Amino acid sequence: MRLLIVEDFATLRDELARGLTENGYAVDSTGDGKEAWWYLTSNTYDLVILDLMLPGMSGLQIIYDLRKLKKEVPILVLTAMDAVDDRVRGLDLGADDYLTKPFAVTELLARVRSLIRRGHDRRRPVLEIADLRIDTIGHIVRRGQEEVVLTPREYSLLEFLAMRVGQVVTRVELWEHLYAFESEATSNVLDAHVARLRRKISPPGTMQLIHTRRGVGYLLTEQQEAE
Amino acid sequence: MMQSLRMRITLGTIASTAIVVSLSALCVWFAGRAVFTRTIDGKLIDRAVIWQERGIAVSSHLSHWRDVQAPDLPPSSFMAQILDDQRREIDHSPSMPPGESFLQILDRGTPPGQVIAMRLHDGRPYLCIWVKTFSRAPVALGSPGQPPPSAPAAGSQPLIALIAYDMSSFDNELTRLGWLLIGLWVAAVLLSAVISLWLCRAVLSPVRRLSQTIKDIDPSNLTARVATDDVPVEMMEVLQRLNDLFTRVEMAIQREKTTIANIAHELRNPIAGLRTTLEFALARQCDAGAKQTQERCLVMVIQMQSMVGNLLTLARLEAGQETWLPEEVDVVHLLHATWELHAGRAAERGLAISWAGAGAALITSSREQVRVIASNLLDNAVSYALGGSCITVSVMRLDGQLRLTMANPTDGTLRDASLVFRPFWRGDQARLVGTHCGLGLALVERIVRCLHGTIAAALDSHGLFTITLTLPTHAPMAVPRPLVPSGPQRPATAGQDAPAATTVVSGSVERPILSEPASSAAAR
Repeated sequence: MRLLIVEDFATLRDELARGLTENGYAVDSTGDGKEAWWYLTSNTYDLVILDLMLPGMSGLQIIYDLRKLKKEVPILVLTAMDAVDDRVRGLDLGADDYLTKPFAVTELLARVRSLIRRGHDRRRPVLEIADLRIDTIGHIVRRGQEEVVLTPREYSLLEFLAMRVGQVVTRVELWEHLYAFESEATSNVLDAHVARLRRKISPPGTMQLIHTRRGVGYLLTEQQEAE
Repeated sequence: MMQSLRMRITLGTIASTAIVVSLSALCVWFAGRAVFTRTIDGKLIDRAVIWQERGIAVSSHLSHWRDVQAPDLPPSSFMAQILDDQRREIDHSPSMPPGESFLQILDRGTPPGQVIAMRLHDGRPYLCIWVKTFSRAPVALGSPGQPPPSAPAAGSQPLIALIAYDMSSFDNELTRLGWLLIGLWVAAVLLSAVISLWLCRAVLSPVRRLSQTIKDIDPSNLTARVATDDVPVEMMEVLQRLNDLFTRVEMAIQREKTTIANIAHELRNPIAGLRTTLEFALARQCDAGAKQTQERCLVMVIQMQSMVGNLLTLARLEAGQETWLPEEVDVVHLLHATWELHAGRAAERGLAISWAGAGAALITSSREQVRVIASNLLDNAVSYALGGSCITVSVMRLDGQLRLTMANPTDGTLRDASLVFRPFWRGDQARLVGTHCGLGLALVERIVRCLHGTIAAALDSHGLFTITLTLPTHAPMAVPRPLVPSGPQRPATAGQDAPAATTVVSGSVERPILSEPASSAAAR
């Protein structure tokens, strides 16, 4: 999942980016409102973590303009302004959630997961495809009774495909949602990740869940089809 | 009584009027008396001189008295007595009372030609003068060609003429004048009282209006100013100074609150950075020592976060910026729920809790604020109650109010219970073992005040610390700022009033969206 962190306090921004990356998210970050607007209009994100008091362009202005452009990306407002009026203002303009600084990281992560699920029209924290079970809270994947050990990148890939279960996900979409803007990964890396993931979740003798659509992308489904 | 400006002016005016009128009346009375007396004196002396120079034509018939008496003196008041040189009476005027004699003037040794005041036997006052004269033949006064003799003729007899004037009518006139002056005095005093009262009312009405205006100013409302419309110029400068003073006080307090709020607000970012760094670091693989250090740092950061949060809330409460909407709150249920959060720590200290009073206590108030109150009170009790003792919580309803009492035994180190509501005040025990910064109960006190309740702390001789607070069952709510639709704007910083126009809403009612963690740093 790809996130954008917009926070002008550099220490917090860097720590958030680092921590969220370690939790398997592809993270872009900026401290400037105008730069954030450029990121948002040039890329696709699963979630935006947005401060309100920003140089260049205020967080509220960004929310307002995003919603005006019909962009439905979930927005988590992360701000030191905790007054009821501030919260109401942010939420009424189109923010999806509001977290006041300072915050507990566990709460932030829970809200991030929740908002990402909601962004993909999922409510339950556990995604199930056939006998594949993905616990989005603990990042635990099981195939039948067996736990599947995945790298953060592989988990993100699987989670994104699972969020779009039954739908073909293009390589571009995967690229956009799994890699940060400054990532130097090539398309071969993506293919390699998919191949490794496929091997891990569908060992020999089990039903193949990830299917390739040549020239288009990948599909996670429990329906068997001829490759 | 004399503290009243109106009474001072009224009494002052009446007193000064009375003094002035009294002095004037006395002057008039004495002046009138002096003028009249001098006039009578002059007439008596004139008559005496005439008789002394011209002599007296003594007749057996006293009808001539009509001719000789002073024409400008009332006949009934003019009296005369003629004596020979042996002081035997020869004649007297008909106006002289029978048996009366003016001889006493001679007995007193009064020199001739000098007017003295004496009294008749019946007590009437009179003025008397005597002269030596002589007898002459009767001459018709004013007869042409026969001027009266200017010196005694041969054979004329030396005489003594005693001339007197009855002053009783004059005294009556003076008495009447006196009464008239007294009447005028009373009338003047009454009139001055009425006029001064009316004047006071008219003159002091701006002062009264000003006094009422100042009295109507809510001491907690520092934005109030005294209107300077229709104020007399004499008071204008005072009012302007007063308003300037209000402005300076308001600015000073606002500056202090803004500074506190801004500091608290600005501290949130670094605290958030610290906490995030530590929490992410704790999730990473590292050695046990580093992890322990990180955990300790995290505890301190969370304490700092709590302090900053409480400081900010305090500043907002003081500035009247905390708003809420009324909700139905079951205080007893909320207390029980809050206790669940503290029960573990209470058990560690061997504390028990005893509940008394109502099974349910519904009030219309701010759920969030009541929760903060309950959390801080219980946290405080659990932190500082004597180990192994029992915390007693009692909730009662009486006269439209809810009374919550929380009592716990202490170790006796607390000396003055009233200090516990001071921000940053901590008792010795709290300094030694506590992690609180002394803001929790200060916060509770401000919240209770904002909810129109009362709070008091007491410590009895056995070391039982009791906090009693009352909350109205229907608290008048802090009025939220009006919500008007508007585009997004840069928000106001903490401590500044966000302009109403920057508040955005789309036809919804303002409500708290997210609950903050309890500000629960309470300390004694």
